[in-house]
Amino acid sequence: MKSPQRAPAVVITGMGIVSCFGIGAQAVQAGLATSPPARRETPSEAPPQVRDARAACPFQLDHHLAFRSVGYVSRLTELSLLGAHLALADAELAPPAMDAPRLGIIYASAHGDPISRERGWRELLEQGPQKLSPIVIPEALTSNMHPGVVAIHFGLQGVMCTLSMGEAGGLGAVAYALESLRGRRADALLACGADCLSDSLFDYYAAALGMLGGGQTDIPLGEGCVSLLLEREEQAVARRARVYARCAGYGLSGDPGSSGLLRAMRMALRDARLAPDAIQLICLNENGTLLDEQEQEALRQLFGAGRLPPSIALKRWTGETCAMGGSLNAAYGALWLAGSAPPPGAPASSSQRPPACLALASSFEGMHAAVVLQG
Amino acid sequence: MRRWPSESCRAANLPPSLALPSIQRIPMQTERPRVVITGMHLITPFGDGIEAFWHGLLSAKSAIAPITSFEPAGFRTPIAGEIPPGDRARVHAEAAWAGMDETSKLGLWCAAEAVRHAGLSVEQLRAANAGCSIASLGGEEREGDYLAGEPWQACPAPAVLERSYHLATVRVARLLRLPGPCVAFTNACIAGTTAIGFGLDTLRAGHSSIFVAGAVSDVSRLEQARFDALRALTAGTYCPFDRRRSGLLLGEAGAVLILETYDSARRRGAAMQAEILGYGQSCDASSITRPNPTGAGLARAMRAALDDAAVRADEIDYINAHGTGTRHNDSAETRAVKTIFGRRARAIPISTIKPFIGHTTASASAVELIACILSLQHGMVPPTLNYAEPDKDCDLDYVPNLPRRAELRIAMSNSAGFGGSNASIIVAGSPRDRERPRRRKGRAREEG
Repeated sequence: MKSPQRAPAVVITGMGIVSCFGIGAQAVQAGLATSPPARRETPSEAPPQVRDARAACPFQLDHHLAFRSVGYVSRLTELSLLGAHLALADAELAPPAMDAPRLGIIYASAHGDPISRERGWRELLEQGPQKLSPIVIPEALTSNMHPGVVAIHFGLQGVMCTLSMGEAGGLGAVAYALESLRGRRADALLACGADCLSDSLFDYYAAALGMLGGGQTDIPLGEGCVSLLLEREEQAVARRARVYARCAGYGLSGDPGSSGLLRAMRMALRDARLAPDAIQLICLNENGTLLDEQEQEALRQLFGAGRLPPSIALKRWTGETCAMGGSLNAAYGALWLAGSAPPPGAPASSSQRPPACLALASSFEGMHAAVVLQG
Repeated sequence: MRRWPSESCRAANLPPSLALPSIQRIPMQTERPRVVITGMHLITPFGDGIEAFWHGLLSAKSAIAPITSFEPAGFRTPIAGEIPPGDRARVHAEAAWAGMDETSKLGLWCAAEAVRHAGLSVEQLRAANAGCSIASLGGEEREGDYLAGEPWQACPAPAVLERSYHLATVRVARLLRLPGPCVAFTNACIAGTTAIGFGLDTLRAGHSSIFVAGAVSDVSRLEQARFDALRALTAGTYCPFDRRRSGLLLGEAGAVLILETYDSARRRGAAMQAEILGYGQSCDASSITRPNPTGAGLARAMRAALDDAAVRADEIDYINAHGTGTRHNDSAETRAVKTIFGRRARAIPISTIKPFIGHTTASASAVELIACILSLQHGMVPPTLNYAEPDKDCDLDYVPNLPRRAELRIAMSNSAGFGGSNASIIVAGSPRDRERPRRRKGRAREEG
């Protein structure tokens, strides 16, 4: 079914990471050098517990960039601004260095800004419709506001899009950006995955775990923002940009269970024109829930039992970071391919550069994304 | 072979403030698959189905009425475009959908009917690796119910999960057993066009040969209160492009289209309703609640859509405007149209259907694309309702108050959203209709 035409190559030339590890890619590398926090096992008869949180490191936004706000700025917007700032600075690519209408942002958030939404509801219910604060409204109205603020601050006038695929959203944003760049809808795109902690998020995931069934480990929740700067390889080469990795292919699927993830992985490999044995590292979605069994089953079907490449589960350190999780998997894969991040416990080979990495993300509802990165 | 857009379509003699920044022109792929529409369905304040919708647009009567889905006391603007109770009851009668949020139900209803319209089976959808994208801004009404009632911890598990923006997409994918790419878009009032555009890209890339795309929205207390607090709702007549315009009225709708590659549709002998030629997106990057007053952002989206469609500006026969009825949007959109179409801007019929059914936010652009397709099929332009007093900033042909017969081959639909997003999509009549020779061009006559 795949078109025979070869699409232009797309590479990652910048990344901005704000996570529980700290700010920047180096903080991730340092954080992964330590062992992940131990998980608590939940007895099968006990209700699911989602009470642990791994917040992003505290930061003062104005210490990093000169952002002037005329109104309320949510935590999600702050995380998004800082992530975008770090990625654009890392890539040394921002207007006026680049034609603003050719630079855009693809933004994913699983939950948007629940804090502002809940505040809006409480004002409406407790004080009536005419007492609603117009200051909070823009942030609460739609999750499009967060990339909108980023676009205004950095002057991004190209494609701007907000998507939701639950916990698979961040990797979905990478896939959408890849397709948009191949279609020449832009010259460079920020692919962001971001979510922030809120009280209701704990109840959401407790409910989600309840729906999956008992007998699983607790999952701590995390938060943060990962922004990746994707651009066409020809442009990156022309401007002599540092390239972390090439985005070789993507796959998306809405089939529930292991068959959906298997379909997404096969689509990504076909898109990248690679066989499974080219994959040297898998960045797992693994989050400590029953979804992990589906992921392992899909991997067994793709690679064969006992033939799985080395893998890493970043959520053991970060907790379930929602949309950011998939973005972090892609960022880690790119770092590893660039020789900047050996997988914990397995020293990187200096003679054999790993050719490809598979980043995975799945949502609780059965949306799956897979992205193949190449060195 | 399509023609490449001509530089001559750039507007001439424009003031510097309206000039577009230079956009790098890169030849696009020449042998990408053509994408056609083989099924569509919508439910609007005019009722359920295409016929009710088209009949409503030609009736030149608004379906906006006092709100009944919640108690509107205390709201400055107690009216909106709501789906008629009888039609809503039919949607709610599906027992398997009990407990779902309103937008999921609307999405499921429209998707099932659109697939039926396209004559597709589940087996065909799976064989085509069919994908799905149903744009939505979420089921906020239920969220309010939790906060009004019990603490979060006491909420039943399925109810808490109803908050997700992507539920309508997931549920449609499950209902139709769609295995392919599955993404929900939430970029405000352009979300419907983004979903359809993503479907177009997916089919062009060869990942699937069928895609289910659309959008859903419902009238909710919080949305009504938010727009009211932003002073975006009108307390008077809803009259876009009119000198008296003072804001918008909200509405609700669901709209789903079946996108299919031309080859797939031809192989199975499917009726082709229209052809999607291309789309474009841009960002104003100037304000999150107001459009760029020069219209430059929307103009960039229109230019990108023309380039993607490989259509010249002088080939556009009708523009379905975003036309929200706010002071800033309508004047900015008028400037954007002038930027792209130059002196010909005054010769193109432009109308907005929002005064008929309200601004249906997330679903507006999907509903309006169907309005474009019906206009192409029937050779009739729906009017801009309630237009009475011309405005010096809005001086184009807005097809006031009465539908107009016209020979139409290619239409453009514009959208803009909070956050600064802009989108434009271009659709042509069915490939068979486009092969007929064009009659002489002239001033179309009004109906009614």
